[in-house]
Amino acid sequence: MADKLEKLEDFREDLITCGHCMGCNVFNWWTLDKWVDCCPSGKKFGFISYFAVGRVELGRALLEEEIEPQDIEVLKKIAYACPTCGACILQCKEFKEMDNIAIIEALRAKMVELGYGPMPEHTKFAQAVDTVNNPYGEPHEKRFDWLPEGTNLDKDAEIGYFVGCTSAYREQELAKATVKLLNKANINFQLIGSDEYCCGSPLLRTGIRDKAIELAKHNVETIKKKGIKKVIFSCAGCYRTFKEDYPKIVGDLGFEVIHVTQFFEQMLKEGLLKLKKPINKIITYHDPCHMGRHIHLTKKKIGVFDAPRNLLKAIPGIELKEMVRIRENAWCCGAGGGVKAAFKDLALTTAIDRIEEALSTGAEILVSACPFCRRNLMDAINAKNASIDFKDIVELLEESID
Amino acid sequence: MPDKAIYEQIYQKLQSIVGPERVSNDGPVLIAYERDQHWPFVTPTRPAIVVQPKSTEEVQQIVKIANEHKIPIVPLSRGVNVRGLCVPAKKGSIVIDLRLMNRILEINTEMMTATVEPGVTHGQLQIAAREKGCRICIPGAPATGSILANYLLRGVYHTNAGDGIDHALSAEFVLPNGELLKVGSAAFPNSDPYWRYTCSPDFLGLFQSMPGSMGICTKMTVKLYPLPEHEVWFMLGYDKIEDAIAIIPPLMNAQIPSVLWVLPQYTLIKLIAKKTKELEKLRGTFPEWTIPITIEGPKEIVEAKVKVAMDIIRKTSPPKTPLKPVPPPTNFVKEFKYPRNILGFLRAGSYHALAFYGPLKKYPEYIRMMKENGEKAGYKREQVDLLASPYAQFWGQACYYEAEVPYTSAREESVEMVKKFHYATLKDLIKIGIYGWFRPFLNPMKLIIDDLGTYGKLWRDIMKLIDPNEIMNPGKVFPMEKELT
Repeated sequence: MADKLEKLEDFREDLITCGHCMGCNVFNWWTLDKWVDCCPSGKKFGFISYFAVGRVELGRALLEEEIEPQDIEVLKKIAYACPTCGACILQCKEFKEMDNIAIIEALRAKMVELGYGPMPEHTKFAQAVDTVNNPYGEPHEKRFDWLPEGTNLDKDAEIGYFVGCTSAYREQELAKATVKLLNKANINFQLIGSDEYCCGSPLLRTGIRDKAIELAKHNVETIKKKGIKKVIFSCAGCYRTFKEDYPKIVGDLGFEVIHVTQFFEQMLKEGLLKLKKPINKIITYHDPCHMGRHIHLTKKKIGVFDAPRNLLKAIPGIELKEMVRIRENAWCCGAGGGVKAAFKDLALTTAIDRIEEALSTGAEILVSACPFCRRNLMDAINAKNASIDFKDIVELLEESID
Repeated sequence: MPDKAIYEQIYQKLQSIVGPERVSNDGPVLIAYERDQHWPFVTPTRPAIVVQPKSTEEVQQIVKIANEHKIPIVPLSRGVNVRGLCVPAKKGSIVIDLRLMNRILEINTEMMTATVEPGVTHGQLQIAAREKGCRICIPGAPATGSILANYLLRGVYHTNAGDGIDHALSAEFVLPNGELLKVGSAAFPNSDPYWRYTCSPDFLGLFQSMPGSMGICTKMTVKLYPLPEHEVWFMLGYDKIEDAIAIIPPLMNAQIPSVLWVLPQYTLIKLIAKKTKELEKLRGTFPEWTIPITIEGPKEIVEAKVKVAMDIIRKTSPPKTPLKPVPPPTNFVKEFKYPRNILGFLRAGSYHALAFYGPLKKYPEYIRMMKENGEKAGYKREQVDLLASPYAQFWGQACYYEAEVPYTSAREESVEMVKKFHYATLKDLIKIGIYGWFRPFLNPMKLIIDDLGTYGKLWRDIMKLIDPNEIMNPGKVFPMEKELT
C-alpha cells in the first residue's frame, strides 16, 4: 500500500496563493486579548523568510526551480530552523486553511529527495535509527535497562505501553514513573518489548521518510502480534506519530492510541484513580505541541488540552496557575522538528522564553507531558539558573496516587 | 546597477551598521521579499539585499549609503502588502525591513495620541490603547499590518463614517540624503508632536499616499479616540442598491453613524464565515445589500441619535429587514474592533480588490458597469461585488469603493479573467468619473499620467527635488520609462 504522506506538489495552489497576511506571526488576539508572537523561528531570526510565509515561498520557489546551487545551504537553514510547533498553522488554518506543518514537512521531504537535506545532525540520527533502532545511537539491547525491578507486567494484557526512545535512553525517570503509576493503579499492561523500535518521529519531522515508513510498519505489526488493543504513550512525539502519521502510512492501525493523561483522566472520571497524597505546590502547565496543536488541527480530533489539567486539578494541594500562552496558543518548548539536534541555540532561547513565562506565574514547578519538552525546558532552567523545578505530570500522579 | 564589487562593499557596510545577523543577500532569505499576492499585476523582483534596522539612526546610515551609490531602496513596515507597493521595481534594490522597529513609544491619554514606530501593528496598538480606555481608528485590514504605514498611506477604516480619513498628526522621515525631517508640530522648537497644522503648508500630507517614495517614516504620532461608553448596531437589509444608499446622505449629513458600510451579500458572508465551505452555503441567506450602522458615544446622545436615525431611515427608505437595533452576526462586532476575520478574504483564493474614491451617487452606475465588465471577462453577474463606505465629513459624498471578483493566482485562466475585468474597469471608471485611486497602484497610474497636467508635473518635480537620485521605492507612484512602453 502506498503511503498517503503529503508531497510538496500537493500544496502547489496553497504555495502560490499565500496572501502574506502575516497571520502566521502572532497568536489569536481574539482568544488571548493580547498581542504575542507565536513563531519561535521568526522571533529568533527576524526576517520574513523564517516565518511560515517565508517557508511557503521557499516551497513555491523550489517547485518553480528558482533555487540556485549556491542557495542550498541557506535554504536548508530556513527549512530546518523551525520546530514545526504548528502555532502558525492554527492561525492560517482558520482562514486560508493551509496546513503549514504538512507543507514544511513536505518541503523537507522534497529536499531530502533532491539531495539538499536533511541537516548533518539529522543524517546522524537517521543512521543511528538504521543500526540500533533509536536516534541516540544507544545499544538496542539496553532499551529497557531502566525498568525497575519488580515491575508487574502481563504479557497477555490488552494494554501496551510504548516507551519511546527519549524516555528509554535519556529521560528514564519518566518511563520509571509511568510503569510505577500503572502498577499502583492496578493496570494490567505489557511493554512492546525488544521489538519496540523508534516511532520514526525524528525522521518524519525532518523529511527522511523511507526509513520512517519501515519503522511504522514494523511497530504496528509488532503491536498487533502481541494482541494489544490499546497503546498508552507518555511521549507526546510518539503519540502524535502513531495518531496522525501512522494512519497515512499503514491505514487503520487496528488498535487504540491514547496518551497517558487521557488514560488516567478516564480512570479519574470513573472513580478508579485515587489521588490522595497532597502536593502543596504552585504549578503551571506547558502544553506539548505534539499532543495539543498537532492533534487539534486535524479533522474531528481535539488536542489533549483538558486531560492533563483535569488530572492536575485532582491532585490535592496543587494550585494551577496558567501562563498567558496556553492550549492551542501555547508557546513551543523549541525542541521539536529536529531543532534540538541541529539548532541548539534556537531550541534554548525558545525554551528560555517559556521558562520566563512560567516564572511570571509564580509557579514553583513547571509541569508538562513530554520527555522531549522535559529535556529542553530543563536545559533552559539550568542555563538560566531559574528558581523553578520541572516535573512530568506522570511523576506528580505517581507521587500522589494512593 | 552598480557592479558586484560595489554590492559587496555595501553589504559589508550594512553589516557594520546593523550587525551580521540583520542583513542578508542570500537568495532563500530574499525570496520572501520578491513578490506579494498581486504578482500577476506586479512583476516579482528579488531584491539584492534585505536589512533590518532597529533605530532611526541605523535607517539614516543605510539610506545614506544607498544614496551615495544610487541604489533603489524599498521600505517595508510589516510585510502585509498588496498591489506590489513594497516589491522592488528595479533589480539590485535594497529592502529595508522595519519590523524590528516595533515600539509603542507613548500612549498619551491626556492628548489622546499614540506615538509609534513603523513595526507596530494595528492589533498591538489597539490592545495597548484599549488598556488605557482608548481605541485607534481601526483599519479595514488585517490587524497584523503596520498602523504607521496604514495611516501614512491613508486607509479605509471601519469607522470611516465617524472618524474620517486622516489619523496622523506628526511624523519624522528619513530623507533620501539621510537627513531627518520632522513634520507637524514636532518640527517646532520645544514643541510636542501632538498637532498637525502649523503656520506652514501640510508637509505630512505631502508624504501621504506614497509608499516610501520620498522618505522613510520612522516615527508617527497618531490620533486616539475614546472607547465608546455605549453603542447601538443596526443591520439593514435591502434588495436594491438605490434603496440601500438612499438613507446614507441624510444620516451622514446629520453626523449620526460612526460605522456605516454598504456590503454586498458575499462580502458580508466572507466577513462572518468560519469555514471556506460556508461561503457558498450561506449565499442567499442574507439580503443582496446589508448596511451595518453603529451609533456610539455617551448613552443619552446615542439614544437621541438612534431616534433621529430611525426617523430618517423610515422616511427615506425603509429596509426589508426590521428597522430596530439588532445584535450583529457572530464575530461581526469583534471584527469591527479587532480585525481578524478579514484574513478570511483569502479563503476563496487570492484577494483582488480594485479600490478607489468616488461620490456615493455614482454607486449604481459603477455597479452596472462592473457587472457588464465581469460578464465580458467570464464571471457570473453575482460574482462581481462592489462595497463602499462613506467618509466623514461627507462633503462631496466621498466614499471608499472596493470592487471584488473571485480569483486565484494559481490558475492561469483565473488570472486572465481577473486581468480582463480589472483593466476594462479601470478605463470605464475614468470615463464615469472617480475622485482618484485608493493609494498608488501602478496600472491605474499609467492610464492617467498624461492627463495630470501641471498637477502631475509639480508632483514629479517635488519628488525629484527631494529624491534627485530616484532611489526611494522608484516605480511605485509613477511608472518607470520602461513600463510605459
